[in-house]
Amino acid sequence: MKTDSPFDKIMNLKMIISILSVFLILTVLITIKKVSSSQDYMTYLKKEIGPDLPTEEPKTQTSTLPYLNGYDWDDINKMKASIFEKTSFKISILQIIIETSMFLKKPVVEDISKLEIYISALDTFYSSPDNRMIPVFFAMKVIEMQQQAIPEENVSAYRSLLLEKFNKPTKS
Amino acid sequence: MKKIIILVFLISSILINTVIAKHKIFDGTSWLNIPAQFPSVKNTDHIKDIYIRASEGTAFLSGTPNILYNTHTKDNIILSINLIYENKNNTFLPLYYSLNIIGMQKKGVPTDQINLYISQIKRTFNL
Repeated sequence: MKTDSPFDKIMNLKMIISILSVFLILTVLITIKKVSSSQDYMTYLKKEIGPDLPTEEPKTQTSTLPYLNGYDWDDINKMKASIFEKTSFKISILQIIIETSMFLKKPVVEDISKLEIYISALDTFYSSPDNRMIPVFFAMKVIEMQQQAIPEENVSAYRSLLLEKFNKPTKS
Repeated sequence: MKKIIILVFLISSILINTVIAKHKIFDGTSWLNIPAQFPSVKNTDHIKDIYIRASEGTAFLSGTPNILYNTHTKDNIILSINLIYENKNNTFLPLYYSLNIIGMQKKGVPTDQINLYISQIKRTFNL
């Protein structure tokens, strides 16, 4: 029966340590890259979206509203699709909302690197049926307030205003 | 050992690229990639409709709405966006600006003015 010599054992240990070190270094590099690419992206959007672009004239509000709310968000969870696809779908939705709000120079959130946090927070927010009439756009503002550690009573007051406004039967 | 290190570097570079790609602006490439991105979904029109409402709704709730939601049907908007992005010169356009262009077309804005608008956006994005 073949047994490893002490030299082989040390070599094996060195190999394992080397692989682990490479993984550790790569994880750190990926994290740094992710943060910097997010910051670059935000800087890019803030810098490159100039003030000279023409925009549509404001339009009078009608009873048929186009925005997404908690019912739409909940429908995504019920979709016949993989978890990867559902998450990817939610990421794109939030990306579009954030980008559109930035094009309009009214950014809904300050840090796009927190998308995963927003997805999880929105899942929690809309798990309460009371919140489902609130548009995703405003739900993100509520979550942003919580992220910024704004006093709970202020967040709660804002949420109550939203509930009052959007629980009226205006959405189809 | 060398092979393992090369493999690890290869995987990590794919991961990094995925992370960077995720933060790309939602434009024509993203739109045209929807069927490939959602292989389990047979009819991707629902996904497209949600994306349109994400953009239109944000504009609406920010006080700068487009006019599409009360003048176009869902299918009509999707077809119009498909038409815009089928032109390879327009794939750089973010979804929000494509929706604006549809609004301009509906209002009867002349094509040369729309083209001017597109070039303005192109300049803004340094393309």
